Amino acid sequence: MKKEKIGRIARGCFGVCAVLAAVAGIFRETLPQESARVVLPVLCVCMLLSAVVWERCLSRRLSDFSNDICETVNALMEGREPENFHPYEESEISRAQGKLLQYYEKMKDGQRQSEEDRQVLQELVSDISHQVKTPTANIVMFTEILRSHSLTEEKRGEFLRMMEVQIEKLNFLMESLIKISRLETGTFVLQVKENSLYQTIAGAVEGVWAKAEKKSIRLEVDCDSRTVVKHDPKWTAEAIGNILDNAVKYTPEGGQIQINVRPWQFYTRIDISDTGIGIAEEHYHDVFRRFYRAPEAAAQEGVGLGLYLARGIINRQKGYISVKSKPGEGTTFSVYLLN
Amino acid sequence: MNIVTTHHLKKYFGEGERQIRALDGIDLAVEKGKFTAVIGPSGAGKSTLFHLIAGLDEPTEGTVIVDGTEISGMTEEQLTIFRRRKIGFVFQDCALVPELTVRENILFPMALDHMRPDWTYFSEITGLLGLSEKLDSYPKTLSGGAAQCTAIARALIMRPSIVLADEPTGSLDAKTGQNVAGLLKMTAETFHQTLLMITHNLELAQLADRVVHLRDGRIIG
Repeated sequence: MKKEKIGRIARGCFGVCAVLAAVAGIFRETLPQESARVVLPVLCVCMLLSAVVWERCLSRRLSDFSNDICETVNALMEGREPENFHPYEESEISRAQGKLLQYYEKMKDGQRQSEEDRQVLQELVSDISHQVKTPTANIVMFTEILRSHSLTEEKRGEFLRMMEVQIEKLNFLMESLIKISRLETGTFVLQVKENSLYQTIAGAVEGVWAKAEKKSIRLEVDCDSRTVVKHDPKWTAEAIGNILDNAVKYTPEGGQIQINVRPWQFYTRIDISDTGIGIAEEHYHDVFRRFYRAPEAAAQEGVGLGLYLARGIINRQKGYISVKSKPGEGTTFSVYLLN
Repeated sequence: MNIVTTHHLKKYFGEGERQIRALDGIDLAVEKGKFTAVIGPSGAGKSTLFHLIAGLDEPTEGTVIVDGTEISGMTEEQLTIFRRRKIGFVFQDCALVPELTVRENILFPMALDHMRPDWTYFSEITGLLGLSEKLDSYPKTLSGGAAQCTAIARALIMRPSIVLADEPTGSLDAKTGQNVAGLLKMTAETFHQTLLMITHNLELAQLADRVVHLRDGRIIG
């Protein structure tokens, strides 16, 4: 602070002397010879002196600045709080220190992220082993029965069918997990381009049509066939398909599923409404969790990956999904795709 | 890692029988890089919490730590700089300067801090928020959505530690509100920004990674 003051005084002196010298220079004809001989050299000496002081102060400030920066970097490398740390001041050093610390934090974020990733992976492995355990145990049990008991042809067929169901479950789980791992590890690139949303929805509907027909569920789509939105058709169809699959699963026979598409200013909104069992408000967040199954959904087949995957796919395209529901009346999932 | 931590945060207004306990012991932790929504009915203490975290008001009791610094010990001047550098604000009414263009409004915090703008980052933000064509327009010519997008861009430009949004869609119709909330989430995610949104709208809160329910000055879940 003191140095800054001296610097400012020196700068002021230099300025004043320079102005006086300039004035004296301009009016040198009118100035008495005697005084000009004294004033001009004095002013020049003053200017020189103040310039020297000014320059000293500047270089001192510069060296203080670089010392402070070095000290900050040293402190960060040693993992301690820097000395002379002034985070909230209107000075150059404060701004530079702030940015250095921000950079340091960002680097640390990378480390933290890989630590978090490792934890996520661990949780995933534990979740998977938990999910695989039951069908595998069942298959082992059925194999044991088939091998060690003499059974009638009819009973044999029954056990084989039960085994088939378990194998199908494992297969489905495997496929979903592959998709999730590809999505989470970023090993695939979403092809987000302008595509017909109508076609994508048609593709998704096709996948559930037969199941809906079986339960006499009416499926209606209200979408302008000319609607074009930036999205990856294959993965978006997968996301919408997963939501539709749930809708069919949790809607009782004779129910209704409605798809409405509304283009908005920034997003295109796709509402998928059903007349199913609904979701309680406190579980709106949970339904998107990996392997989450609501107690009332236990009766239905499923592993709890569909909506998790759907949200992941839509988020990766800079869109989002929200849900609104009334238990016992139905649910609306809204998918927002960025235009 | 938490960007914001509050310990037993209390804020009372008035005294004696007329005392109003706006916040009554809030322990909140906002995780870095995540989107947290604080939801509650009006009078739950949401705005008071917002003001305390932003250092716009002092707590009756308790502490607020933002990015490792306890803000109660700061002088008014330090608080001003702290808010400028560490917090990006998105208010309900946008709070744009009418005399400045969209570009100038977005760069305003940088000008206050004598910082040279990072033009690549600037065009990335404005591109994502659909403002590239409107940079020379004045706030009064903008739609409600575009004005709020300008406010979002302004909040992000300093790469703050946290973006605080207080009912960012409060003055918009439902449709535009959903659009703007989506963009807020999307841009925060794109630039790995921590976002704390205060709202009474359950539909908007769903966009968050974590929802904190506030009622009568307490966290209920």
